[in-house]
Amino acid sequence: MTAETATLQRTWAHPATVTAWVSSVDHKQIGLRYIVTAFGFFLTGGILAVLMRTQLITAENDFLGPGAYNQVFTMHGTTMIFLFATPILIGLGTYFVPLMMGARDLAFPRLNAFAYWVFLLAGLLLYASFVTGGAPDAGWFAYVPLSNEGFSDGKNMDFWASGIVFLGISTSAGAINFIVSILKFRAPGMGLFRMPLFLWGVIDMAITILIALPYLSLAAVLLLMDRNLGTHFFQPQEGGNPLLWQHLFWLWGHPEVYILLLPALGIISTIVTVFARQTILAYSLVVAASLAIGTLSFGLWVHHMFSTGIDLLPMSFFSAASFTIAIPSGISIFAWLATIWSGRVVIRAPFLWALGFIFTFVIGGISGVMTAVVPFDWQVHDTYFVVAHFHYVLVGGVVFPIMGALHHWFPKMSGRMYHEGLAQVTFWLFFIGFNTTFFVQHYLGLIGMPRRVYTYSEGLGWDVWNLVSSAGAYIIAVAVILMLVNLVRSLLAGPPAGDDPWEGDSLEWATPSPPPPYNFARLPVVHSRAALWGDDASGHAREDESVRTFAIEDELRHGRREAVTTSILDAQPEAVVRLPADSIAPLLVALSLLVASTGPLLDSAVLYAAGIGGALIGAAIWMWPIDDPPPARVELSTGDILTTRVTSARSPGWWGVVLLMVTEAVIFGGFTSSYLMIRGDAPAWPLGGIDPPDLLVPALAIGVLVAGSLVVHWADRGMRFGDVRRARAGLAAGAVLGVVFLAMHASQLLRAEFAHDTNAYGSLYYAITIVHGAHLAAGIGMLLWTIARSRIERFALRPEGSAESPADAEAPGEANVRHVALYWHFVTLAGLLMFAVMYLSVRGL
Amino acid sequence: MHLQQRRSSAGRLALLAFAVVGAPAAWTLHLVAVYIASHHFCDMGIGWALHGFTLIAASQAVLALVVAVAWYRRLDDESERDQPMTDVNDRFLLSTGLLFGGLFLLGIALNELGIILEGCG
Repeated sequence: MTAETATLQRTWAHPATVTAWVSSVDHKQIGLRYIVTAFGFFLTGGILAVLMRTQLITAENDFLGPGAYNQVFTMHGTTMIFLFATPILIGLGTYFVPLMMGARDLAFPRLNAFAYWVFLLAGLLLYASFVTGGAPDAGWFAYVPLSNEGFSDGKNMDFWASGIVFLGISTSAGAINFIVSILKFRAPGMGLFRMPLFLWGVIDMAITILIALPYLSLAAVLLLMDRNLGTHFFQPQEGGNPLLWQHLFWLWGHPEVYILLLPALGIISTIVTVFARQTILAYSLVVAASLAIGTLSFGLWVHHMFSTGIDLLPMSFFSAASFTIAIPSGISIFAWLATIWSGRVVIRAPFLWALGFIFTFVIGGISGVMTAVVPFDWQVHDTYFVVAHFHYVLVGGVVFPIMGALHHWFPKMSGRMYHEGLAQVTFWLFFIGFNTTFFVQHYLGLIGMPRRVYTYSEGLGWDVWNLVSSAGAYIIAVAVILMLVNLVRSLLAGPPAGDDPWEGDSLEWATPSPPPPYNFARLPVVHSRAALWGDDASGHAREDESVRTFAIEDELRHGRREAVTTSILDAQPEAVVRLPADSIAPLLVALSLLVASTGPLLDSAVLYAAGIGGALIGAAIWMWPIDDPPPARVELSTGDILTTRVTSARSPGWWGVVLLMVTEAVIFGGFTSSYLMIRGDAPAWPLGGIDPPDLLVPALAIGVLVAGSLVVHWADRGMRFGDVRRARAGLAAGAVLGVVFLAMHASQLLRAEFAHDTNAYGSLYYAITIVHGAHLAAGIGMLLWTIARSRIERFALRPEGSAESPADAEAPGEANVRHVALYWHFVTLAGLLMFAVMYLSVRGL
Repeated sequence: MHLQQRRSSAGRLALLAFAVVGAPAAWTLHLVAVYIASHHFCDMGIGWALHGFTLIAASQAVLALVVAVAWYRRLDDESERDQPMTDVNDRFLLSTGLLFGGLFLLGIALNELGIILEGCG
């Protein structure tokens, strides 16, 4: 071990203690935890599937009763979508994104740990429902009115909605982390046009999550409020609209298919490249196709609602979009086939899974185009044809690539080789079992078998096909057991894999197996798309000189965790940023949020308050600055000198705040759409003869809010010149004005002649006002925290006019003020939008 | 960086962004606009006005496509290694813009087909 690697080991390694284990923020440890936990949920969801198929194996079976069957199919769908497919892809991304882009870690390691703990606890919360008197039973789609009070009494669906909200926090945090990491932490030279296709898949996934997921979180929150607080968002008798649920759910639900599919396509490109010994042909088109799929996925949500009575003309738009998305999907398929055709194929288990994916995904795609035809969709809606279609898309399109990825990267993660023969047997068993189970379900649907029925009568012609389908499910179960045996046995006693058993093209194969805590002893510089193959895209020759490396001198000298950030388009080095040390705070915050989530479930305001309080304390520990500020400039071994102080688009923190604002903007957009949709269907507005709200106090309040934004901007400008006193004064004034705004709106709510449970108008008015107020309260907290931090960290004073050199362009602490100001302006803009919607538009202004 | 350089760099980036995302943005806005407006316009007896949305969206998508094609053709067709990094990046992003332009223009055309064939029923 060289002196360099010894220093890196000391800096990045974790002691072998329980406290260190739960405090670890190492992306590889967290990635592995994601993968193992999600696979555990996959096994659980698989057992539920086997129970369902056992119930349906014969007509009029009484293996499961109707109530149990409802719980089993609801938890099967919920588990496979929320607790297996999404998290395992996030886990694979968490493990391999930093390795493939030549980085030390993700952009926000503590956020990464937090996202994992929240995912784990949300999964446990959902399954705790089995213990506490009944699991969710209204389907994984939770359609109202079935999922609302009166039709689903008890706490079953409260567990579901709380779990979904909780999971949303985890997934959104993961998405923000991926986007910032891939934009800002790629190895020098890895311009966008050289990014591995898996990275493109992950960033597409993350962007789609960020825009789509808030709709589901919003829907789940509104459902919780309808069920527990007496609001009426989905209840037509009080002016609500049940179709609002379907719109919000499918605005997330359809993109979710592509959230899962996009990284899976990246996995397939990775496997095909390595085992065809040929870089992907038409790389630019494949990237564009992936981005186009992500964009088009937002234009498909209504095709789940063709049978809800929507007019024909609007349906034609969504039918058209459903056809259009077949084009970029086809481009990807043809690119893989052409790459395989022109390559020198080596048949190994990962490659078989990739071939299996292409076969099954094409079938799923074709049946998807069939259901895009409105009359055909009416015919097969809610039948087993649709069950067959989406299993071909989701198992064929997502599970096959995941299985391929687990085999492809198993040697890298474990340092051991699996048994190839057993792995190939596993594939064939799974492939045969899958097609046996689901292909016949197309026919079952066409001859009229509805989905979600716990049993069926004899003599309908369904018996034999159900028997075949169930037999297939058992074959899949055997394949999964075989795979587990193979991987566990190989983990314990498999032959050593070496650094690069597949002679791969991407940077993860340039590290030892398993990789050390610091990933790369020296950080790579990339010169070609296939980083380890150099310019020879066929993989014939491995050019050692194709990967140049460098070190961060400051990291080695002081034993600090540091990383180089690069420009977004062409990955030119921009700055050196400090990465945080291990911390138990992410776990504390996640546990506190779990306690808060159980508050509504146990009807306990105390638990809710304790959870929120705990989360705030945890967050303070999380962000407490303990290290000395780094020097303004840091030297690389290449001789380049980089700044450690960056703001705006060069700063990872700035991107984090911007992306947080994007997801919050979707929430406000969702609220606005909900308001307008319910209002559009109302005979009069406000409902129930309520007078339109007074304009004077809200107008004054919005003036106060805008004034707050102006003083915060003044503070931000002051900080740019190193004027810390002015910054503190501006931030404090902003906080005071924020409190005044909240007080004015609180007085409005207290004086209102209606309540949140009067009707849907009251529900919307209170919910929107309180949600905006909560955002403002968070903003006030951020302002106060920044003021406190300016004292703790002693934001350096800098004389005016000293910013001539780019390296010194930002004063210490400037980024903190800039980021909090950005968020504050966003909350002001949201306030203006809400004012226009709730106050001006009601009066026809 | 001088102010003028910075402005020209920002202008270049803005044009590049338009060439890449102009067509997807046009399709997205078109879909949302015709979906929301179709019900109201048909009720008001002015269903023909939906063609106006198509005209605006298609114009934007065509313009983005034209910018992408013109810019792409200006870039030298040399191997990646011999070109400046910026040109390689631009070529890559513009090729994305070319596919987007064609695909999302088709999406807008298919929406218009629905308006022509189905109309207000």
